[in-house]
Amino acid sequence: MEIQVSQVNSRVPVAVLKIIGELNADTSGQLDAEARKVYESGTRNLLLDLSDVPYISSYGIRTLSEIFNLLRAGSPDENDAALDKGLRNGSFKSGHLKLLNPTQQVRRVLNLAGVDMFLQSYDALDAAIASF
Amino acid sequence: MSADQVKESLVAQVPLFAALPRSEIAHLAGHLRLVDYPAATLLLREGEPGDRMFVLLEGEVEIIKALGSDDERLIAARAAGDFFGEMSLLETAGKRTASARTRTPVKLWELSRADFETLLHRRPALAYEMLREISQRLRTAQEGRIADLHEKNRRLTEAYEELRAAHAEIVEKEKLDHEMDLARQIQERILPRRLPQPDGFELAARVVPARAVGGDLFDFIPLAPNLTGIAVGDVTGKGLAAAIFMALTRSLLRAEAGPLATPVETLRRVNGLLRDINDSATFVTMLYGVLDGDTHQFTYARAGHELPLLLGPCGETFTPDAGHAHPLGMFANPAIDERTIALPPGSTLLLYTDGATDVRDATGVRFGWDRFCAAAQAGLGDSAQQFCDNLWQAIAAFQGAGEQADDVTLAVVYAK
Repeated sequence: MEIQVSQVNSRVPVAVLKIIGELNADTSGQLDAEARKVYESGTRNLLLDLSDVPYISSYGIRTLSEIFNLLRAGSPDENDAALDKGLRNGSFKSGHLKLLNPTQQVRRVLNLAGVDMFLQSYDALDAAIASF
Repeated sequence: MSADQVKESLVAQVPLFAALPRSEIAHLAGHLRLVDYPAATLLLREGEPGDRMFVLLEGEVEIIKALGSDDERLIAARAAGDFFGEMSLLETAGKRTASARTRTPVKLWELSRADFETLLHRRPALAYEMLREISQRLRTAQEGRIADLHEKNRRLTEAYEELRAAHAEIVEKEKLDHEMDLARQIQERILPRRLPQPDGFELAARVVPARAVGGDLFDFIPLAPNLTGIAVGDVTGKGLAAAIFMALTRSLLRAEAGPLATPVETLRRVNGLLRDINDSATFVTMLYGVLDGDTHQFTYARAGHELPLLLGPCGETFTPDAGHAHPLGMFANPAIDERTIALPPGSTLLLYTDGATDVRDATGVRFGWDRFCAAAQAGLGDSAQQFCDNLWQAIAAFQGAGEQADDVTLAVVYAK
């Protein structure tokens, strides 16, 4: 798996991580490490470009969940109570972690595991960046 | 200068003979036999009886111990003016203590044992001269041997350290293998060996872990005479840690499942307990449902797990819609998808983990949903256990030499 990192400065700075390859038990650690590196460098907004990810396993889902929790840790509007309330009424959307263009197979797994309930997916880069 | 005079002059230039009187030099010049050898000629072989010694006039000769063996070692090189082959002549019927091989083309004198002994009797001073030289050579050889011993000792120490490290590694691996073996035994004992057989249904299951132990689970729990709890789950991860988390989850499920608790209530309670005791990011996808023998219905709660596959009596496939659902352990109040499906007689309900559809062949191609459905349809009319075994065979045949990356679990309900 390969991860290409780029920075886009829009309303807020956004790190775009383009992932090329599968997100599974063997590769997810690489994404986790890259996301933490970006986070430690001060970036609080991440867009994961999944257009070249043909497959995601439950391990990949776990990694998305970990990155989501990492980014919301310092965000009062995404604390546990707000998250709980938002998930109950279906209004919660992560403001700091978003997905770009997941493939049909990945979309299906995101849906089965309920990840689409808290991570929004976008089809176009411009729209994704503008949403932060 | 006559030929004899030339020969005498050459003898006089050899350090060993330099101190001899002229008459003796003249005598030697008459008795020494001059011979030529090309390079790489073996002049003496270690262990063979020695009957002559040599004085080197031109070229170089190598003195070698243990020639041709793994321990072969060059112990000295002799140049013009040096003598060699004398050691065996100092003993009666002495044997060569080393081999000698020409390094370059050489010109040398041969001195027979008889000539050598006569010479020493006539000129005892020559014996002192030889003794001095031999003594010097012995000292050099001894120093070389000590250096050799040091080197051998160093290599032995190095080999010992490597051996010790390898041994420690083997012990550690054996310990780990033992732990994995224990974990596998525990896992095998934990997962149900005898399945309940409620009236009107046949049940079967199969787990094939990717490693010695895995994170998949299944369970069939008799809740009441006409109610059977059925669960399939998948812990994120593989190996020992996943197996322990799997065992924990199954225990919690067994504790919380009951005839009065709905599947959603059961999973919510399991989720709460998992969240209380698990501070890591591990979570588990699960589908837990209750099979009702009276209504022939299966009511399930799905926590981020794969959807069930229903195979109708004529082979038609059906998958329920996916509602919102999160894996257990992910959130304090996860969304859980609840459905009820009817199981008409002749139908087969298949619950599974994603390892079953994600198996790859040696070239990396996934088994995938379509092949999975086709393989399931091929088992139409089989008993539950036969259906389960045949489906796994189809998956394993597709996998071939490919590596199994994830656990595979199949749980089957056949409605009679």
